[in-house]
Amino acid sequence: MKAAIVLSADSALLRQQAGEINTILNHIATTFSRVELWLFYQDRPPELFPEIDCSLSGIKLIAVQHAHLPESYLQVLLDLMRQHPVDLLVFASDGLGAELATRLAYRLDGNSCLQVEDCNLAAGQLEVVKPVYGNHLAARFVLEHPPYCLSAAKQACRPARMTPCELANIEIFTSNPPRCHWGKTFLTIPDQPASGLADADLVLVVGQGAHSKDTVDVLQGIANSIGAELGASRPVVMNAWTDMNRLIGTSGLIISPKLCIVAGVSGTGVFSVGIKSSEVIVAINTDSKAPIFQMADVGIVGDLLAVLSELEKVITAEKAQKGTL
Amino acid sequence: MKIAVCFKTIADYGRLSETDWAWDERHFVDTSFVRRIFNCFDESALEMALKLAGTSLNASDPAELTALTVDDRQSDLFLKHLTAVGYHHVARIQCNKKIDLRFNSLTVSDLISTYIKQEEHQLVFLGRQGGAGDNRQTGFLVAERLGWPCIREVTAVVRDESSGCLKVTSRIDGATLVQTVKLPMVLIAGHCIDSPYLRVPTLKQKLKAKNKPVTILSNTRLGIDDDTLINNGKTLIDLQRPQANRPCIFLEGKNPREQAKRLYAEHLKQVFTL
Repeated sequence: MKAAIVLSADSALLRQQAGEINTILNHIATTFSRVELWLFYQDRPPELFPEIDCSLSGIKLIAVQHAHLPESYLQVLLDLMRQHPVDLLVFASDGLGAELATRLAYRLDGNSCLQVEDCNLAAGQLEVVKPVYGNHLAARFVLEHPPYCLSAAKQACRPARMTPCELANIEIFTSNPPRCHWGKTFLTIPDQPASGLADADLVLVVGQGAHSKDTVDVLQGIANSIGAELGASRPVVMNAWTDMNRLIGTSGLIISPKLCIVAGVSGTGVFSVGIKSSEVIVAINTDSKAPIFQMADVGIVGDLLAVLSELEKVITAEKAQKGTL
Repeated sequence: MKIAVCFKTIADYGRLSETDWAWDERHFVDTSFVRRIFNCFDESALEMALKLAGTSLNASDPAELTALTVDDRQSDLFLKHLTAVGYHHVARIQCNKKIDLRFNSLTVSDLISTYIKQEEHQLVFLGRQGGAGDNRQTGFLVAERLGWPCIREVTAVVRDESSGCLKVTSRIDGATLVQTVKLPMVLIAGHCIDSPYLRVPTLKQKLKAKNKPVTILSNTRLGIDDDTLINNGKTLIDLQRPQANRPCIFLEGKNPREQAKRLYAEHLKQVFTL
């Protein structure tokens, strides 16, 4: 089977995305007769490349203009598939990866599946596993025929290392800018610098049980005081009680801290994916039957603000005693 | 400007207990005993369209809103709700119940795009993902079938009266993108902080909506036969319940202070001294 891994060199999440792809290709990497990395970039060709856990046959660097237009990517991918057809294309776990996998498969009369957590070859057919029912179940599908276009699922993984490329076989492609008859103007506003949440050792995640922005502000203060980063479930960010970049779960960040304190979160499937790789999970909830307790190492049934305020006092006193305050 | 918003209602999965996650020989999970809710991304799309229509009341081309779902009668109450909050038309595409559409975005997008062509809409809103299949593909496939551009992860839409275009705000990797675009267009709603929930109708609005009809269409009336509905690029083999359970130790205590002290002494002290 010939395969291509398609990533964007300019993505801030490139290492994570390559790591996720390494995870899902784990079972079929040895079946590839040829595998290439197709890497998009905007201004300057990259000097470092993500390590892929199979022997790369080549790298294609693709300069893309108008990076905000999916058509810029689709046109060049169609050209590449005409010139260098492959059976399997694997895209990143982000929105662009999902869009490209779906639309390219449609145009190539192939098959696509998104949020793939694992894949395997069985009797010459490609089997994929993906979350369904809001991440409460996993479904195994057989895809009918190539070309297969998959996007990886967001999941905890070892981010790929970035290394210089030793391959002589690097080709550079340029795409012709697509005709865009529908877009009149566009403006890109870069995000604020990311918080340290993604790599934090200690995280306090708050959920709807906080009930108000005022409580979330108090919890932000407690997080600062005990040296934790604040994360949040979807209801908290959708109510604008904290910033969107603190969202934890399949739509936000996947974190693996040493300690994750989860307060006032019920524990839906889409949220749980975001914290399940934490070393220790402590859950605080007033409902003893909340699903969050099924994935916690330690549980406290009680009011989150009362427990966390007391915990702050204990930790502050301990730090003061050790002179580390 | 004719706008169609496609939505789906789903079971509130958070209300299912561990033992409820069982399935029959066709891999269907019985969720009939829990309440149904709007899929959260579709709910944002529905509210965004209402806001857009509200700002174009005095425009030369006022918005005409249609809410569309592919479902059976369980969606009718939701369609009534949408009529009450201001949707001019509500429609439901009813397919043969024996055909499993949960994981078949190809067919659902075929039904939606056929309806859009027949009714000559210029703008289609959808939520980015949801439902049992969590496919995340329907919006992209509707755009492909219609041959229209699409913008994903949309967070806000307003009318730009001077140019007769829409100003669309969306999220891309590491940035917010604001585009002025011409119709036709498919917009796929992401996390919309400005429109997280659908508005609630007043009693007067509910009573007024009570007798307004729901348009019910069959797939055959759209020119799509049952054999075509079966077409899908993938076949479901099995379902699994991921086992991520940890042996939770519950900390008792007379009061929060005692619980917090035990938590620190027995479980956190080591982490904090690292």
